[in-house]
Amino acid sequence: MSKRIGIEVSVAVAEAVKLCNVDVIAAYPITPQTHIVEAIADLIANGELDAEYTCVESEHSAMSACLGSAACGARTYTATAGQGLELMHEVVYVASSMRLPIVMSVANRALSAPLSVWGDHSDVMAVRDTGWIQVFCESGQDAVDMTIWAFKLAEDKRVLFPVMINLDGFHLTHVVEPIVMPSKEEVDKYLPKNSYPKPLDPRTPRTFGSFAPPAIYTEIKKSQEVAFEGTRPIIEESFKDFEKHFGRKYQAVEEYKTEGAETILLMMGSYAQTASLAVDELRAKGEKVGLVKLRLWRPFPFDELRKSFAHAKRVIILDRSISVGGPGGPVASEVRAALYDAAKRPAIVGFIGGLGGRDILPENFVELIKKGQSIAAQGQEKFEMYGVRE
Amino acid sequence: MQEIRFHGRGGQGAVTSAEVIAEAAIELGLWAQSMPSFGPERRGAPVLAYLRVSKEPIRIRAEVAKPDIVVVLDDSLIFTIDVASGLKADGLLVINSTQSEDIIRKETGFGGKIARIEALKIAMECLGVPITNTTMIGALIKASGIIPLEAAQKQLSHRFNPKLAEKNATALKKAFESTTIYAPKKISAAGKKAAAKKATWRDILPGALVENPGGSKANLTGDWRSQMPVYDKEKCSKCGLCYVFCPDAAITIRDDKYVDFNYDYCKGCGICAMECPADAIAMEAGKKKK
Ligand code: SF4
Ligand code: SF4
Repeated sequence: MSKRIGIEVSVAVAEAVKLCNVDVIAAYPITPQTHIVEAIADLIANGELDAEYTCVESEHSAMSACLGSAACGARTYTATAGQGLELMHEVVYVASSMRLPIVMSVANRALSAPLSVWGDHSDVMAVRDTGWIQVFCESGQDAVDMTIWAFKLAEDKRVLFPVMINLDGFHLTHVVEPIVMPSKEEVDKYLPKNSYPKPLDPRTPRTFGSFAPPAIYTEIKKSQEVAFEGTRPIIEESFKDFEKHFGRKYQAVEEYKTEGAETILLMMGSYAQTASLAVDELRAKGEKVGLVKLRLWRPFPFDELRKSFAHAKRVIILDRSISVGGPGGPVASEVRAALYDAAKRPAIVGFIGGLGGRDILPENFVELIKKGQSIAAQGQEKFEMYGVRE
Repeated sequence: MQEIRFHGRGGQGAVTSAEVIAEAAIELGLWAQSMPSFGPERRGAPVLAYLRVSKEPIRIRAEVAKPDIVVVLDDSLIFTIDVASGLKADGLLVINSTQSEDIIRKETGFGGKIARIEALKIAMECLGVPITNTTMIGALIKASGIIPLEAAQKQLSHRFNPKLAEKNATALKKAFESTTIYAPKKISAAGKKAAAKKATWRDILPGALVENPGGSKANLTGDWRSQMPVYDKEKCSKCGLCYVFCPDAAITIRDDKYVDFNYDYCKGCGICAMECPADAIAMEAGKKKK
């Protein structure tokens, strides 16, 4: 039976990794991911989890070790954050291109300089185009559920892509909150044994990660893109399958009080919970405001978003990272692209906020929505930094 | 614009040939472009180089797919590669070969003008090494007049030290004088190599997996050879250095510590001869032992 307990989210993620009976963990500790990998190390040391924990000298090596492990058909997990993800960068691409079903938690953290260990989404934006399936979590419950879900999806023979679970550094990782932990039996029933179709095996030698001259590289990239696009319906199916087993519903795009909403606030991650309080407040005053939470970041849910915004007059987007010298925030620019072809398009206003762990309170969200509405009323579609001292 | 494609083997100097002519043409006030086709850089492996020479600025920045001229620095290539691919019917094939015109035409499927030169012989005579690039430039100039001979000679003096430049200039001139030209001839299309079917994206396995293990067993690099190591057992001190240095593992050590050469894989790079401290290995021109 599943059990509701008060637990730190990082420790709960480690418990979820244990429940999934992971074979290999290769990770390097970095704030704010540290508690996850420390807790996993404890579980192994205590004999609660029978797995290989590879202590590596860097995140680059961590992901490299994961490649080998996953290629052998072992269930493989790692976690990182911020600078660690950037150091891992080149190998992150390889995991997807080689179709290795690795699961990685990213405890989202701002990037240097200046050095910041606090949360925002800058780290994951730099690996946006690496070909990983990427989801964001709103709560500790999400973080646990997404971990279990990720292994099943990644290892699905129709998928075979790595999955990245983003959870906000500190705002999620270090919070103690109530989480329903599924039981071992439930997870065992849900998650089949990993059987990677063509593993690295000296008895049947094959060539992995070979070299591609110009005559074939394009074909290989096309096959990767087609396969990745092909995961869309499987992701949808996998959310339904998870709901069937555990009773909790997840979707690529999740809506909150969007019925009849003329103004929609959109974001990814844990700040959406705080934002929902602002929506409640404005709804209580009779304002037609709703909230859309983007769970699935890659593959980007174009169709679902178009549907969510079909009746909105304006969309206000909060990005927790900035594309310096670019169009503002990466989420806003993606949403713009999604709506470019729409027959009827809402006004789109982007804000950059919550950088480097800066909090946004419910009253700030009310202010942000008002600001967005007035920018849209002026017919402008520019982006602004929110909460910056002028 | 004249478009030229060079076919050679790593180490023969195909890229240098293209560069020398391009630089000479530019010095003459023409427009020119030389471009290597980068692949796995490996001594002996088939390589390509591209050259364009024009009276107008050149804006194309791509391979030469429909050459006016093809230059083949090593005739062993015609048996495995479609060197005449895209070559215009009224174009020119310049080839370093000891083969007859008929065999060249049969293997390349090319009926146009052919210039044949025994470049290896000239290179060995004039330079003492089997590097045929300058020699081939001489043949190319003779058959095409793409630049004056003097312009190429001048470039050699920019590139090499005076002694080497002179040797190369001699090779160039000798090649210019001893090139044989064969007029176009009607041939049957039978010799034309069928283009291999190219894989589409649908043929790619997940993760670009290759079902076979990697290995060099099937790759008989002995075919690449244009010179071969000749072993003098009497001189050998059984040090094993040649075994260590051979890049293609073509040398094995016998039980009695003397060495064996595997000519299926020896590509004739000459590294063993260079490294042997006892001068027990000599490089001899040609594919096979005479
Ligand atoms: S045997 Fe000598 S010449 Fe032949 S490949 Fe090896 S090193 Fe090169
Ligand atoms: S390097 Fe020369 S002396 Fe040494 S084993 Fe080889 S052939 Fe003999």
